[in-house]
Amino acid sequence: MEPHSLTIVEASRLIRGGKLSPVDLLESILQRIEDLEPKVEAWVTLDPHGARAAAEKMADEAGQGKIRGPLHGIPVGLKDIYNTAGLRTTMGSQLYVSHVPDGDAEVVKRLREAGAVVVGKTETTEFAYLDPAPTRNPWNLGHTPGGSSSGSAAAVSSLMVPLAFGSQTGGSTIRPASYCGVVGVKPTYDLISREGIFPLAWSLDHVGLFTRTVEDAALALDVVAGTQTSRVLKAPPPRVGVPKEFYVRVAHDEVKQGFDAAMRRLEGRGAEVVEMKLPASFKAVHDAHRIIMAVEAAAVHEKSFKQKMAGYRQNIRGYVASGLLVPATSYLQAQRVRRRFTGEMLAAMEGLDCVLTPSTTSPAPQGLSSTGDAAFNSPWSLTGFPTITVPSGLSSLRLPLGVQLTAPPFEEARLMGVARWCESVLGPIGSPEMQVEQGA
Amino acid sequence: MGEDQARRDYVNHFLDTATQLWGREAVSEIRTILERTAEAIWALGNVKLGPEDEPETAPGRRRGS
Repeated sequence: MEPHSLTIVEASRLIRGGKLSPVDLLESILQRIEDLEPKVEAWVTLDPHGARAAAEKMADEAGQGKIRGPLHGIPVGLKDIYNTAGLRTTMGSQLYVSHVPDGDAEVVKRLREAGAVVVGKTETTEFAYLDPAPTRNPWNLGHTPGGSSSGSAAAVSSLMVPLAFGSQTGGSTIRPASYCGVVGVKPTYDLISREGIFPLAWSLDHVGLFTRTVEDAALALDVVAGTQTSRVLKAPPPRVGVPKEFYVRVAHDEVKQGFDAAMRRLEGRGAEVVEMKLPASFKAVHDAHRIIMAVEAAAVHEKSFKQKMAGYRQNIRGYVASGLLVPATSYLQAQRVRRRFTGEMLAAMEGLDCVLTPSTTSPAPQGLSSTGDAAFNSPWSLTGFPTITVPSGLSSLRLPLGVQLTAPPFEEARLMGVARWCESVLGPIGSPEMQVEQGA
Repeated sequence: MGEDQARRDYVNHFLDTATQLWGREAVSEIRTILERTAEAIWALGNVKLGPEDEPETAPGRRRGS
């Protein structure tokens, strides 16, 4: 097996045992990127020089028996809204095309301290909103990888890195992870520091991460969040709530069929699937999310927007403009709906391990002009509840489908345990490697 | 005036305000986004909430049971 195709758990075990050098792992990763990047376009900026220096340091330490932890020598990609000291950070915008931060984001500091090797910066939609990045879906290059964390999802999916970080304000982690057939985690709001990450909407922004397995995700989450989820990954068959109203009118037929099939498999292995009702406030959730995000994005960009409106691409320009016109009372009304929905959902989730829904309304849409629909993800960005997507199968066009699990706030250990159990039942969906190599 | 007409009037008022600020051409490029935001404002205004329904001030802070 080529080093670039190793999971974090596998690579970490080999590094710890002296059977794999972080330098060799990085060189395999850089070769993989060189081979596939012209097709996938997952990276804005690569830092081979900095990465090699970090990998050599980790190799020296490993040679002396010093292993910092499970991310020692593990290559990582960072969405291009994370500040990286001395390394260009563009926010996907021409307005920041030459921006080089002085310091690292808090997450980046923690990753470096844990021995991770920063390979470079991954593509993002402009300011993490909807104007697409050039990135293509590794499963089919004619389809979107989703967004806004487009490059991070595609890079992990195409075995360019075993770990990448993104963000989620609406559905920017779960959606691209599902479209690209990888595991994506959006932890509880503010469980992971957002310091040094360019905001889209402060009260909705979450750090997100991408891996190829739930176990890898738990290890990475523990490093950046200080949790201990990887120690308790063995969970019994769960009791999950399925709110059909959440998805049944919006999901494409293939998503519904795939989700029903996944549910049957989970039930067949002992999961208790309970149909649950959504609170009445759910009907206003997407409007509330839209207003809060627009107003907060407008506040972030107000000063710059007045001077450089034409420098913003169409979607973010329209969103900031609309946010500037929202009455203060409407913003507060949205926050009131948010609070009511959060409280009612918490009550509805009592006695359940998780809520289970499809991760996305459809498989990855064709074309690169849109990044898809976040309708199944934004309610959980609004509540701040932790969510994870796990691959559950392939569509008729061999595009990935996923299931989304949601738990109450700060119940990441429970969430990851249930996700690991679901992953073991639903099984791997394979790799897009062949499609990429054939230039499909 | 019917509910639907009132909603349309509000959306038009929103677009007029935008046009005054940024001009007709700029607004035509982002019209759909402005309309959707105006529709969301209108819809939220019709959600029945009581005085006890306070705004969220600390998302994600409430731990599960």
